[in-house]
Amino acid sequence: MTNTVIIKDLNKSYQDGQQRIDVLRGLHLELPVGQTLAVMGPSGSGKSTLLNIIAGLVSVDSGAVNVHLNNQFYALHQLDERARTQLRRSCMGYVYQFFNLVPTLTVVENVSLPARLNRRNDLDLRARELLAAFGLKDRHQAFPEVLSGGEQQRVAVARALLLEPPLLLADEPTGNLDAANADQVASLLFDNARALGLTVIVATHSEEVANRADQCLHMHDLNQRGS
Amino acid sequence: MILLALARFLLRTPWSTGMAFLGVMLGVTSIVAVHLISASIATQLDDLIPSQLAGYSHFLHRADVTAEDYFDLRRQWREGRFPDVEEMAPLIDETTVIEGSEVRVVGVDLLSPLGMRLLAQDNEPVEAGVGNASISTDFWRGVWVDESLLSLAAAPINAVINAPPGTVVGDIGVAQDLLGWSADELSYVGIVYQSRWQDVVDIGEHILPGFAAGFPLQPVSQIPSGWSVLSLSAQHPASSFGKSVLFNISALGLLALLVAWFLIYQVAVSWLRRLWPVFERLHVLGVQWHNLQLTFVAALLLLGVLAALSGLLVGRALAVVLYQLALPVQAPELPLNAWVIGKAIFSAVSVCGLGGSWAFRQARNVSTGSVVKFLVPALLLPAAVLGVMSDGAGLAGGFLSIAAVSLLAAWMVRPLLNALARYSPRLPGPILVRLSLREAIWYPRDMGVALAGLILAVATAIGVSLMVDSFRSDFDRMLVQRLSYDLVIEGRAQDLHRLELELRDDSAVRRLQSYRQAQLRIAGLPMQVVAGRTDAAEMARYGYPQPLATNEVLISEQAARALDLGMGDKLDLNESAFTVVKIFTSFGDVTPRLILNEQAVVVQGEVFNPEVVLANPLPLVSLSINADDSVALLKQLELDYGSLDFRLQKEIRTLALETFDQTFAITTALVLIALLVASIGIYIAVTALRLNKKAQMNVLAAVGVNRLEIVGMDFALGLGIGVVAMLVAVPLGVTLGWILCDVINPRAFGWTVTLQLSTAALMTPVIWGLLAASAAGLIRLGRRENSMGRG
Ligand SMILES: Nc1ncnc2c1ncn2[C@@H]1O[C@H](COP(=O)(O)OP(=O)(O)OP(=O)(O)O)[C@@H](O)[C@H]1O
Ligand SMILES: [Mg+2]
Repeated sequence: MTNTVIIKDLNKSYQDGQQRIDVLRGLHLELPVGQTLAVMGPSGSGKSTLLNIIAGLVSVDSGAVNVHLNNQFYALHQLDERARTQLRRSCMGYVYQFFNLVPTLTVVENVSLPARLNRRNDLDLRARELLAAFGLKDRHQAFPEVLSGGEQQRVAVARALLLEPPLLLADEPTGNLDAANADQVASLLFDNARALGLTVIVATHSEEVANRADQCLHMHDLNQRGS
Repeated sequence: MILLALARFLLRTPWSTGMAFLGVMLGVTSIVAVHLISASIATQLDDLIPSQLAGYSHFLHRADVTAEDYFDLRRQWREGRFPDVEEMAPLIDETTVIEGSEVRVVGVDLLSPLGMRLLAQDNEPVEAGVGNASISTDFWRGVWVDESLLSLAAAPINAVINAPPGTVVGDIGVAQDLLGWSADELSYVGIVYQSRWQDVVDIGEHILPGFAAGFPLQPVSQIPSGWSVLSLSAQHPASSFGKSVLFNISALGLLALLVAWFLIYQVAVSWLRRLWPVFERLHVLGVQWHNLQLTFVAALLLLGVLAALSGLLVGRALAVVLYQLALPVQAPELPLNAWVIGKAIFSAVSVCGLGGSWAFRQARNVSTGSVVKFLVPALLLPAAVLGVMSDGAGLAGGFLSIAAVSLLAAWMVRPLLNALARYSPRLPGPILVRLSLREAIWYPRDMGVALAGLILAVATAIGVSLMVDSFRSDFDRMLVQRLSYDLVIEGRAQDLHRLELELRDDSAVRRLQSYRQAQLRIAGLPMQVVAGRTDAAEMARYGYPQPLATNEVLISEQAARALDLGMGDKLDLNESAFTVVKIFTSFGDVTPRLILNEQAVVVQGEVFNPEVVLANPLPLVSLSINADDSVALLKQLELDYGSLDFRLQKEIRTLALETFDQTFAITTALVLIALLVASIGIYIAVTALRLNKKAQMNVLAAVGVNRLEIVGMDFALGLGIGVVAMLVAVPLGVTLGWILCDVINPRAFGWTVTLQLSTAALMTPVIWGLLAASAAGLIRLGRRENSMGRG
C-alpha cells in the first residue's frame, strides 16, 4: 500500500518581529492512501500550519514534504507557487473552520467553484446532487449569508468532495458548531471520504471527531505559550 | 493621548494617509487655481468699466431722456419716494466719431458728490496747476481722457485718467457739445441703489470671483413709472461676459472639492473599520463616543490643514500654467491673499471635518431618518426643474439645477446598487468574473460614496465634453459661413476710404465689401450697428437666403434676447420701423449686433437715403475682399498701407479655433483633476473592500485560484465598478450637457448651442472613467498595510 503523504524532518518557524516562533520541529509523517488522520494538540501547536504546508499554502524551512496524488509524486518543498496552486486546484479539497464560502457566490456556485476552475462543467449536476444529499436541496440559489453555521459547513464539505480529490484537508471543520451539527458534518465528511477512498487529514480539538479517524497525531506546543 | 495614537496610526498607514492627503490637496489645488485666475481676470474686467461710471449701480432709462425728466425724478427722490436710492445724477454715455475715430463720450455732473469723488481719483494732471484747489473756467470746459486720446483737439484736456481706450469724460455740458446735442438731452439718470443683497454679493465676489454674474439683476424695487432700469453690467457687456466665464469655471472648480469630500468620507470609513475595535475597547474603558469622534475628526482636520497649505502652493503653480495655456500672455502676479488662504483652509477643513463626522456616524450606525431620505429627492427634483425652467433664476439657477441633478444622481446610487444586487444572481459569465462583478455592487455602504464621486466626475466630464464638442461644431459651422472673404482689412476710416477707392479699379479684386459700424444705444442698451451692402451673397454669410431690404434688419441672438424680439417683430430706430427677418448666431460676440442695409443709414455725411434713420454717422471700419490671388494682393497692400491691419481668411479661422480651444484648456484641466480625485476615492474604497475579504482570499487560495486569476478578478471588480458608474454617469452627463448648452450658455452669453451627441465626445470621458476604475481595482499599494494581523 502506498502512502499519500510522506513528511520527513519538517521544520517550520515564523518570525514575529524580533521573536522567532518555532512551530514544527523534526516532524515525520506517513499517511497511507485512503486513510484518515486526526491531528490534535493544544492551540498554537501548529495544526493549521501543518495542514497549510501539505496544501502548499505555506512554504517550509527545511525537510521534505512529498505527496502521491493521482499516481504521481510531487515534492511540494521543491515546487514553486504556481505548481503548488495548480496541484491544490486539481487534487485537493480544503475545509476551514469558518468563512469557507465566497459571499458573492450562491450556494450551488460555491460548490461548483472547484469544478469550474478545472473546466469540469459536466459536474454541475453532481453539485446539485451532493447538495441534495447534504440536505440543502432548496438552498441552491441562496447566498451564504442566509445559511446557518451548520449549513455553511455542509456546503463547504460538499465543495471539498465535488472533484473527489485524492487528498482532503479539514481544519477544525466542526469547531464552530453545536454537538448535533458537528456530528452531522463529521459524518458527511468521513462517510463520503471513506466511500470514495479519499485520504483525509482533519485538525481538530474534538475527541468525537478524532475517534472517527483511523490514526491520530498529537502535536506539542514547542514554545509553551498561552498557558 | 488618543490623538497621538491616531496620528501614529495615520503615519503607520502611509498609503491611505497619502491618498487622503493627495485627494484633499487636489481639491484645494483646483479651487485655488481657479480663484487666482478668476481674481486676476476679474480685476482686468473691472478695468473695462471707466471708473467714472463704476460708482453708479443702475441707470434709469426712457426714450429721449431730458434734463427736465431728471429734475422731476430728483424732486421725487428728495420727497423721499425712493428711500433705497442713495445718490442720483444725470449722465451721458454715448459713442460717436470725433476726428475720425470712435470715441466714447461720458458726461457726468461734476458738482454731484459722485462726480467730485470720481474725478478726484486716478488723475494725473497734464499741466501743473490743474487740480481741485484752483478751479478755473477752463476746468469746467475741459475733459479727462485716457492715454489714447491725448491728441484730442475738440476740447482742452484737464488730465489723463485710467479708462478703456477711447474714453472722454467731461461735464454734462461739455459732453453735449462734443456730441452735438442740445443742452436738454441726456442718456440716463444714474443712481446708486443700495440693495440689501449688495453686501452679500460683494462678499460672494471675494469668495468666488465672478459670483455676481451668476445672479439675476438685483431688482430695483421702486422703479419710477415710465422708466426702465438697466444695471451696470448690462451697460458693459464685455465685462459681464467675462464675469460669466469666471462664474462658470468657478462652479466647475468646486467639483474637485466635492469629490474630495466623498474621498475623505471613504478614507474615514476605511480607517474607522480598522480602528473600530480599538475605539470600542476605549469606550468600554469609559471614553465617551463623542470624545472619540472629536479626536478622530481632529486628526483628519490636521491632515486637512496640511493638505490645504500644499494645495495653495500647487494651486498657485497650476494657475500660472493654466493662465498661460488659456491666455498666451505673460501671467500676471497671482498673489495669495487672505481670501484665498482662508478659502483653501476653510474648504479643506470642512471637507475633512464633515467627511470624518459623517463616516463616524455611519460607523456607529446613527442612521439618517427616513424622512430625510424622502425629503432629499422631494426637494432636489423641483429645485432642478425650477432652475432650468425659470429664466429669472439666471446663471446661478442653471448651476443650481446642475447641482440638484447631480446630487439626485448621487443619491440614487445606493438604490441602484440594491436593485442590481437583486438582479445579480442571474449574472452570466465565468464564475470568477461573476464573483468580482457582484462584489462591485454588493457593498453599497462601502462603495456607494466613492461611486457617487466617480459618477459626478465622469458625468461632468461628459457634460462638458458634449457641450464643448457641440459648441465647437456650431462655431466651426458659423466660421465656414462667415469667413467667405479671402482677405479682411481693418483700421482707420480715412485709410480704409483711400484703399476702397483704389481697390474699386483693381481687376484682381472680384468682390469688395465695406462695413460701417458704430456702437449705438438702442432702448438704452449698447449695440453694434453694422451697415453694408446687403445683397444675397453677403446675406448668405448669416444664413439669410435673400437680399436685405432697407426696412429690414438682421439681429444677433444676443440682440434678440436683450431687446426681446423675435422673427417678424418690428424694431424702431429713430422712429423708422425695421422688420426682423433673421436672428443669427454670433458666438464670441460680446455686444449685441444689428445688421442694416447701408442705404438705410447716413454714412459720414454721404446721404444714401433721404430718409435719415440714424442720427449718428457710421464710420467705415473694415473692408472684405475676394481676390484671385489674395496672398499676393496682401503682400502688395501691406507695403502701401502700413497702418491697416490685414488678415487672411485662413488665418482668422485657425486663430479663432485656436482661441476656442485655449478657452477650454482650464475646463479640461479642472475636469481631469476631479476625475483623478474620484479615482483615488474608488481606489480607497476598493482597498477597504479588500480589507474585508481576507477570509475569502484564503478560501480562493485553498481552492487553487492562481495569481493571474486574482489579477483578472481585481480588474473585473474595477471594471464592474466603472460600468455601474457609467450606468448613471452617461444619462447624467447627457443631462448636464443639455443644461450647459440650452440653459447656461444662453443665460451666460446669450447664445444657444445645439447639443449634439457625438460618439467621440461621449465615449472619451466614459473610457477615461472605466480606465480609472479598472486601475483602481488593479493597483495594490502598501500590501502590508492591508494585511494587519494574521489569518
Ligand atoms: N503567518 C504567521 N506569522 C507568524 N506567526 C504565525 C503565523 N501563522 C501562525 N503563526 C504562529 O504559529 C503558531 C502555530 O499556529 P497554528 O495556527 O498552526 O496553530 P494551531 O495549532 O492551528 O492553533 P489553533 O488550535 O488555535 O487553531 C502559533 O503560535 C501562531 O501564533
Ligand atoms: Mg488552527
